[in-house]
Amino acid sequence: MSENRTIDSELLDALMVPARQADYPRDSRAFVRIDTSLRVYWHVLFDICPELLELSGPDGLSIFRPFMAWADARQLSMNWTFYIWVYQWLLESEFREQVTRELAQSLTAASAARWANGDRSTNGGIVLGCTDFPELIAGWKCHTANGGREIECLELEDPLPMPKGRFGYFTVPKFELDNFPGWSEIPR
Amino acid sequence: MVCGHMCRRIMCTFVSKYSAVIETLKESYNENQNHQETKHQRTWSCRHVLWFVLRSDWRELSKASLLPLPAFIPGAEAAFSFVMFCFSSRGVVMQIGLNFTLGNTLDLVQRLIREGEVDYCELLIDNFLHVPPHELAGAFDCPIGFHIMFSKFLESDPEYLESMAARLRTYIDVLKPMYVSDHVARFNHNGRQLYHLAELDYRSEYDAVRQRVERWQEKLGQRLYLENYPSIMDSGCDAPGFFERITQETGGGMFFDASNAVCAHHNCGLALDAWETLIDSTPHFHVGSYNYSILEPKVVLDTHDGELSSDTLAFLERYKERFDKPGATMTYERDVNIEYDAIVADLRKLRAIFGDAKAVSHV
Repeated sequence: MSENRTIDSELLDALMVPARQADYPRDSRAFVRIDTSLRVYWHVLFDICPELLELSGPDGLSIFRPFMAWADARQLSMNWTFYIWVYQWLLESEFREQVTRELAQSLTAASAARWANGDRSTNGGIVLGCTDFPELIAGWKCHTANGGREIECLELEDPLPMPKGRFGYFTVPKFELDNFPGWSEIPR
Repeated sequence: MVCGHMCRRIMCTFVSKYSAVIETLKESYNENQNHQETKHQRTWSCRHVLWFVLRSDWRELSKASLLPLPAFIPGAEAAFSFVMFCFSSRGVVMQIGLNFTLGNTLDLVQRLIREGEVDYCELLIDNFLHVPPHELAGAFDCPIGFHIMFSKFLESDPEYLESMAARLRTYIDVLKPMYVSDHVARFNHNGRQLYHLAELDYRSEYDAVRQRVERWQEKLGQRLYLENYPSIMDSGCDAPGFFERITQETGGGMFFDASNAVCAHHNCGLALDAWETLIDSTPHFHVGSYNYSILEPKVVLDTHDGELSSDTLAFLERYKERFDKPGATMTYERDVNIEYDAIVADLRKLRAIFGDAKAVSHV
């Protein structure tokens, strides 16, 4: 590989770590390519949960940059649990006193939606529980030709036991919540 | 006239020639039994041939007025004559389609079909794996293509791919897509999801990718069409050679995204003519809009959020003889700012390039 050639696979470590962007010259295509990747994470977070900008300010960077560094240190998968880990980080951050139940539910619902959009298992739904609010958040995959994924906030007549950790989840094979298999730990 | 043949066998060497296709129509459809697996598929194949012929060349015939147009559905001999005329007049064959990725756009897509603005629809099929297959089939009064998004077949474990392939085969059996395509890109790095997919290192990863392509294609039971990436970095310059080699060695097909090639041209200087052999080799194409990065130096990003660019349209125009071939499909991708009039405007630009101002209504 010539010195003048930079390929995508050389940039993989930097594509989700804002601090690594500075490893590349500001006027380089690599810098912009990394920026393009980081912006997608930014939009996935703040377009879905814009109330976070009320905490951080309009550029979101006081949340985005430290969270992404924290996530990198823990090698979080950035899968459907993305927003749940953002919530966890907020509780450990300077913003902990500003985290409301509504924000917690919003982030939990965002994770359920992300699962419903991106999961390709045979399961039809996911249920998330959190010790910070009594309701369950359910996410259901698209199952009609003209439908989309659906998110529900559920209050059960007979509440389920709380998860052992702050969060728990279980998946639902079809589109009816008729069985509680127990809580699973939120994966990294 | 048609894309060669409708055989679903992977790596079938049936050579597509116009004369062979006409012979197939003229004689009993059993003649092509060596290349079809079931009577139903052979029947579907021949009807599909006629459908494409009639759809594509109706406009040319109506202008030419040289033949009395046969009533629908024509008898075999009339159809044969019709086909011969279409063939001799070198009518337009490119089918224009639209991608369908979200259920809440179904009304818009159905309207486009009903009003003849598209000839087929491409489903992002793994978005709909919980919709009963026959319900999905019933929602589209047109031929269908499949584009797979999240198989991540280059990275996923065998059990996951086995399960997904089994589910996809059910949809393939019911909806009988014109093609099944998938992405050649990296979705994860060290177990962490990339929200902006990354391009492969085509040189060092070739052998591993080839094995994965072969296995995924085998599991699907279909020829697998592989889409080129909208290259930003210099790996893009290796892409044409990679796709030429891998399609040859696996029997897979090229799913050529014209606007992705334009992105690669702008970003890493890859000449558009580097794709000529691959454009010639395939009947299935994508096209969509691009946009520019926020930061300088500007890079071109495949965004599917607006109007087709003038240079993308110029590329299609300049190479239209290569793109336009029997069975050709050109899917217009629009994922953001999904507005009917704007989409129709772009669809009509594509039709203008490939021969006509507006789609006719379905036969």
